Amino acid sequence: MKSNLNDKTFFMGRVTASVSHDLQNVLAIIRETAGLMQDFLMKGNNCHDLDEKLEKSLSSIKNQVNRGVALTSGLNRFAHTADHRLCPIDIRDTLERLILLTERMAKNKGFTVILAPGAFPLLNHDPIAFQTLCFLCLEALENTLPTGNTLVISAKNHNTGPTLLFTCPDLSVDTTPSPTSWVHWTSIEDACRLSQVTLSLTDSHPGICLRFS
Amino acid sequence: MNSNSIKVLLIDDEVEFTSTLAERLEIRGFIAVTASDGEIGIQAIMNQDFDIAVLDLMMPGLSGLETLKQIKNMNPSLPVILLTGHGSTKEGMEGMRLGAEDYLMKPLDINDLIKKITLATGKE
Repeated sequence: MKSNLNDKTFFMGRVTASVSHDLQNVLAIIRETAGLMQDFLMKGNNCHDLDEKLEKSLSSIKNQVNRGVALTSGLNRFAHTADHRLCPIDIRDTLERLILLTERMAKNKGFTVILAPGAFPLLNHDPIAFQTLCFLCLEALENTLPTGNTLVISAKNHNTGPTLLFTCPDLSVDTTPSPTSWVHWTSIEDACRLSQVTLSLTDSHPGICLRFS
Repeated sequence: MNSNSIKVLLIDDEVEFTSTLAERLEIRGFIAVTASDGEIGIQAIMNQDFDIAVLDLMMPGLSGLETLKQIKNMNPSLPVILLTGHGSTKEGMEGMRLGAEDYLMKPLDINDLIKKITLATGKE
């Protein structure tokens, strides 16, 4: 599976920018919470419910550490997907990580992205090119469709290979502008052409269908 | 807290961050009100008087810069300090071009924030 180097670089940059921004928030909360604990301790006996307040602050720090660990683990695993040019991709696992790492970008545009239940097949391809294409599809829809909606990624398996669907089930297809005006549409077409993926729009709800072979 | 307390509006979608920062500012004699997005922040400014707003640039819905523009349209004299999680100063500079008094990088030092608040409001 191939894709334009510029698109891959753009994708890697966007993911690391988003995750590092989230990590700044994690560190900001930890710093403020630690500072607040120090404020409580400096008040000493004048601080009401000191134990309870310290316990609450510690719990907040633990939650932020867990949030940070999830982000750095996801980022580390994401970075290692570049180790192989061609390998079997666990589509569900890869998309779950992609959704986690791009959550802030989707949230900023007013979208939630989820995976449909059910089995997702394996795919033998370039993992970075695969993730770049999925990311471009999500960004294209997030920039085109009205905010406040949920995007669902589902999969079907055909004899020739898997099909991935990126759809917005709460919207009607009539409301969607022509894809030629969508952000990244040309890049998506190019990536599909290079990778011999059949690109089409979904029928009943606005969305993108990628048929891998 | 006294009648000269500086009233600060903290606007950021990281609710745990604003609530903790608000508590620390209140310990230091400020009055702090929190808003979890730009629209709620603008609503608060329409309903209450503030001495200053502290605004995160990266928020869902109304972006930080868009919120800043609307605040400055409604109340041009209200000082605004921007918070940014970006590694570069580009966004903060852009905010200052749009009328913000200053900006700070996250994670911030509360003493730096207080210095900037007192400087921007002219109140101790």
